[in-house]
Amino acid sequence: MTKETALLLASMLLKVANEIIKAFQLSDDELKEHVSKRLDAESEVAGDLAEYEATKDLKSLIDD
Amino acid sequence: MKKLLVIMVALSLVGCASAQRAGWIATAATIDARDAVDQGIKKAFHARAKSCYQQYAPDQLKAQECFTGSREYKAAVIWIKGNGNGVGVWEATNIAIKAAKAALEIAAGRGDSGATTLKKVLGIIKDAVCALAGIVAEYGDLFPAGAKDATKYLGLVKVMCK
Repeated sequence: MTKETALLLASMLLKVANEIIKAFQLSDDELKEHVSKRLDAESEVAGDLAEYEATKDLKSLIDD
Repeated sequence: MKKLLVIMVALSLVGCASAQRAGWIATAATIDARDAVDQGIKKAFHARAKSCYQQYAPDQLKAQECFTGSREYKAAVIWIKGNGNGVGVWEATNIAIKAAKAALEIAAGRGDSGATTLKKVLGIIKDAVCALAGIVAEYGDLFPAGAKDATKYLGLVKVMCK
């Protein structure tokens, strides 16, 4: 890897890190709450897939 | 080289926040990526169900074949059931997120150094993040909006999944 490539990569990584930070302008407590609240969320795809496999009914899937 | 890049990212994060906080941010980002992929696959799954139904109605068998043979259906199966190992990407992601959260809480209770904790958390979520990135890479064209959102939250992928 050349020096230029390494610098470019480092610059890209810094941008990514800043984007992530910007996406989470939350206090420490808010951040922890954000994780805790959504940790046990159910997959919506799981429900739909199970429903379809149980009924094989496309119409009811569409109507949901 | 990979380790160096991970350290660089970690330092970038630490530059903006504490390492413990960076661990929480990485964990929250993984949750957001998970939810963006789930929503994206759900929309694509429903859209394909509708198009197959409309195309073949009233022939239900043909409509079902159309649906179960689609990439949208395969994406949903891999997302929920995985590739024959019984653990889908969703569940694998959840297991990693819970482990990362527990590691952060234990570290905070012990007063461990932030850098060590961050390294551990990134290690825990690496496989989940790479699996999420994998499904986005293979099926993201089916759900471009969700894939875009997930990619936004998967900034560490290029470094972690090489």
